[in-house]
Amino acid sequence: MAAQAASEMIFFIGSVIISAALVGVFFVSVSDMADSVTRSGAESAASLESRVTVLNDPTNVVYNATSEEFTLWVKNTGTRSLSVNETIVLVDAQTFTNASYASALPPNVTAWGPGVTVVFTLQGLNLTASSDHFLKVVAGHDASDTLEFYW
Amino acid sequence: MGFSVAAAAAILFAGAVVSFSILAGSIQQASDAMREAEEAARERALELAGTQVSLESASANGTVVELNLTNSGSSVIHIDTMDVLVNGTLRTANITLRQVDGVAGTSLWAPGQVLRLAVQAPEGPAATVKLVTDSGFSFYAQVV
Repeated sequence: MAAQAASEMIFFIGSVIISAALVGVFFVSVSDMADSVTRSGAESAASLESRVTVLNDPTNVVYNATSEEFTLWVKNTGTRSLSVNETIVLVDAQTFTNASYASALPPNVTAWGPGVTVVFTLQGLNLTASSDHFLKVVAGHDASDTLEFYW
Repeated sequence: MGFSVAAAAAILFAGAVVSFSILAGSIQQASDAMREAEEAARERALELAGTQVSLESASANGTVVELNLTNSGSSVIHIDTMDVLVNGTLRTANITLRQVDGVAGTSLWAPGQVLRLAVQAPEGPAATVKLVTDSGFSFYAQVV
């Protein structure tokens, strides 16, 4: 009788420990999944709220062939602030990061918020004369715009 | 033995309920964020689709470019965040006059109203003026 009670106790404790361990593993996996769902939702929402527009007039681009500087104006036409320094500009086969362009916000403006236009000066851009060119701006949250022009 | 199975089942069931509520909460949160962002994106798309501008008159004298424009769409345009390029150069900082139906104190340009815009720019006639609104709408005007 005492032996049966002892074995039932061992079964009971064993089953509680195993089920608690299973719940623990399950709980960790579900928490990771929940974090991932929340993060993915926030990223998708940020992507929908972020938009940029290249202002440059394709018929009158501002490019100085001597100093190899190209002036680019990009307006935040979304509803979310963007980071200027995270912006990447692609021109033909060249890539410009914040190390290879100078950027400036309008006077008295401290952040690239909605409606704000940033001027980027791309340095060391060697454009082939009398040909078509392709420019793409990629800002934060995958907001991007393109410009095709002839120079 | 029966009691052990019942205890294990109760623990597993409680764990499943808690996990499900955590997962349901984050799905709800993500779905709310997405719905709000989609709603805002739809509103922006409608605003952009309803934006239209027509040129009434334009002049350039080598110092100032002046434009009279009508909001011929169905959206209100915010003129304080509207950018102006003259011959490819951004001249927003050189705007000297923004008047909507003769009123200078407003930043709202409603449908049917006429905007008088003066920009300091050393450009003569045959200048190309490009306007870009905060919704991303672009309008080109040729000053002849």
